[in-house]
Amino acid sequence: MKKLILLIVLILICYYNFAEITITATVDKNVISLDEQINLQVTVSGNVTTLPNPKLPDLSDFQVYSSGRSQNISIINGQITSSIVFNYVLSPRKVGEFTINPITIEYQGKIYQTQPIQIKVEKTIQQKSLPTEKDVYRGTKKDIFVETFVDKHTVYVNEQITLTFRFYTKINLLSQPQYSPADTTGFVKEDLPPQRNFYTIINGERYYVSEIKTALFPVSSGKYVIGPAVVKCVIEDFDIDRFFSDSFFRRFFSQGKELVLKSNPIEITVLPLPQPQPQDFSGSVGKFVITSSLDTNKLEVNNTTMLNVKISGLGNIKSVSLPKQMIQKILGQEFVVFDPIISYDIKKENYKVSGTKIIKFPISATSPGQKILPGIRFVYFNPETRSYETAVSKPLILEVTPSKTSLAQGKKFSIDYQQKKSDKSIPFKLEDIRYIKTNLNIVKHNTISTSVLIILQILPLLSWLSFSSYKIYSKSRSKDVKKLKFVFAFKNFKKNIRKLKSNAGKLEPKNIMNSLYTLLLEYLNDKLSLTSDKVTITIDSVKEFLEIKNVSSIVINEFITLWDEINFYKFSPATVENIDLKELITKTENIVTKLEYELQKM
Amino acid sequence: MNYKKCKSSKISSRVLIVVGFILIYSVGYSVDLQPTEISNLKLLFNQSVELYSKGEYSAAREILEKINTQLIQNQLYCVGVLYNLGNCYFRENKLGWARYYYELAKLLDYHDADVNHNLYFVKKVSNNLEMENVLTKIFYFFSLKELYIGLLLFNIMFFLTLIVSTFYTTVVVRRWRIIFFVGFVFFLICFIIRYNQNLQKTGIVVEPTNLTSEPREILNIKSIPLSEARKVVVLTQKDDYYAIYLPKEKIQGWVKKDSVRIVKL
Repeated sequence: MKKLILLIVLILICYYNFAEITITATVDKNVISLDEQINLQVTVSGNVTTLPNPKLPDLSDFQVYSSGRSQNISIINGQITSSIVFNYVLSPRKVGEFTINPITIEYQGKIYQTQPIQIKVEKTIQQKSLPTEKDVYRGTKKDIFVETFVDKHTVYVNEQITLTFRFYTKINLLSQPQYSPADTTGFVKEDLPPQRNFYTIINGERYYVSEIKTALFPVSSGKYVIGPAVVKCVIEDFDIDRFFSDSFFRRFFSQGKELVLKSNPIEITVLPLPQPQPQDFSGSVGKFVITSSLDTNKLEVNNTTMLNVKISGLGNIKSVSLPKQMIQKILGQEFVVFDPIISYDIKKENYKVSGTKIIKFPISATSPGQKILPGIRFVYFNPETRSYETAVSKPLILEVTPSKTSLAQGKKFSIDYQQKKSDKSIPFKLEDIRYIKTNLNIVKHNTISTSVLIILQILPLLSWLSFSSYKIYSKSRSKDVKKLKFVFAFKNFKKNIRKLKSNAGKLEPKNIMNSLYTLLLEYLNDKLSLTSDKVTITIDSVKEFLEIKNVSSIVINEFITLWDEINFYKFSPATVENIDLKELITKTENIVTKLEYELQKM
Repeated sequence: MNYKKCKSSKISSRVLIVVGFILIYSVGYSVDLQPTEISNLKLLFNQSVELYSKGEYSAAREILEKINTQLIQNQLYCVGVLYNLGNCYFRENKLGWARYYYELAKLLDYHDADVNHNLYFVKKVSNNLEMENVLTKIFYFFSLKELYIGLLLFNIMFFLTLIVSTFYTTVVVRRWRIIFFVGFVFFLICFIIRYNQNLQKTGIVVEPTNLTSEPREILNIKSIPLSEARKVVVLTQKDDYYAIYLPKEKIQGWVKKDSVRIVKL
């Protein structure tokens, strides 16, 4: 029994912990002037589907207008999170410091409240950028002036007013005029291109006119003032009446005169929308049509398709909304509706704001069979007929087939793709963005200089070129045998004499002498290139050749002495036994090196 | 024979060093942050993931922006942070910002499936999907870095076969030389085109704006509306304006800097 009570207590604690509600209130500014407004945003959120409305404290120091609410409900892993944002516009009645006391909500007997907010209301601040009265032309000057006007002075909330600004001039301007648009606090602003330029006749005078139009949508009812638009321009500092009295040079060097032109402010009366408002009305004003379509006409149970709702027409298309709850209500319990994906396209033809808003609702069917999706109702206020009108889309037919995979009863879906992916039991077919990443993998993004990258790409080409050049060079060299022999004569001699030196101990003295003689003969043969027949080389021919090559007489004499010495030992083998062969080899090597040096010099 | 083996092994080791050098520089490397900084960032990141899963997208975004600012200050980047920022903006229906962050994430990880999917989806939703044929798919299959590495590899291999063919001209060598040449030319063409594209500054229209004929608030100005999430070419900047070019419409104009973000890390 005790365990049961404990369990019940635990369940109750859990229940109350889950049903957690938060309320926050924020304002866009804490210090304002008397002619400004504050936007108060109250956000109520919690993990329940139905949230209570907030209770505002006494705000008698302000005029309070409700400027709509937006709701967002999401179901993730079966957990519901809901939030409603209530928007209010507060217009101060007097100067001073005020406190917005805590805004409260009551849920299941528990009261939640916000922090108090301090507001300071000051006297109307003169804008620094605006010129003083004496500097300003208010359209009275006949040569150059500005004006602003609207198509309607009395409108409903969210109905379009077209504000037209015109700049008239019949004199030359020395610079491009600088334009500061009118202050349109309390209105949602939308530029209306293109700008128009034309000529017009006023009182028999021809003016060049530049015209800019802006669409304004009032956010709440009441009396508003559209501030003056200002144009700064530089005109010729030159008075026609004093033309003849002025010197030519003064006129020539005129620097121009800066003018500040200011239009008159305009009063607008914004009427509240008629009461009572229809139940499904979400604040849209204009004239709209609604169409709906499905991405697929066949759907498996627990799979998802897109219900595309297209609202198009004349009016502030950005403010058009179709709450998810309304779609859920229309489709009933047989479908689960997820958070929509919204896109819009605005057109401004003939200076009227129109466009299309496409709201894509991912929907999922919970049971099989042929389903008829009822037409979607969209209620709006038509200012032309001054009545609420309803646009209805055509019903849609959806064939829902049984699911191929079995699902646990009452399983909720998540809109997030990745969650679906991770849960293998749920088919993976939802058209939406994928789930967020849960890993923090930090990297440094490096860039290499372009020159390094180019060099790396050129390297293989360079190496191929060097290989090819080497090959061509060695090929061409091999063609000239005489030259090749001449170049390599000393290299070969050096190589062979070292070999002989190292083998001197192992070889017979006679053989050493023969080898030494052959080496010298080969060297001379390669150098002289006289003939391939080594026997024909005589000491005289060698001497003659060396003299031609300008080898010094000392080296020639040394070489001839060596040549004679080797010849002598070669042909008298008996005497070879008594000499130091190593010393002779070294001596031969030194003399040939000297000779090579002399030959290289030429 | 031994000498030849030794020479070929030397060449191959040099090639490996060059390729390794390129890979190290191109892939990027993990960064050593202070452990406390990492744990703080992880904590914040986990908080943002939790907030996102609760549906509190703007709160999650604020935290992610804080992390991103901190990372940028240290010249660091994280695909996860940029991608999640894109998701938060998407959930808040700010498609321009969402595309901007997905494009940044793609610069870091070209082949990330999630990033590519979401980028495709945001383009589709915002009607900015470019027509793709087989050629463009092949052309954009590799990232610029990969094209560079591919070009370098084929470049090395082609010239290596050329060098080899100066010594041994066999059918096999000739066949490989043709294969490497074709690869080399393909990568060279792709790389040159992509590199030229990369030289252009691309920007994303993050908020709907007007394309004007002059970079200032003046009269005699012509303007056309520009929808969010559009990709534009940023030509130059002057004061608070960017001069941009719309390749599809082939028109130039000025937009306020606040409404366009340049896609650059």
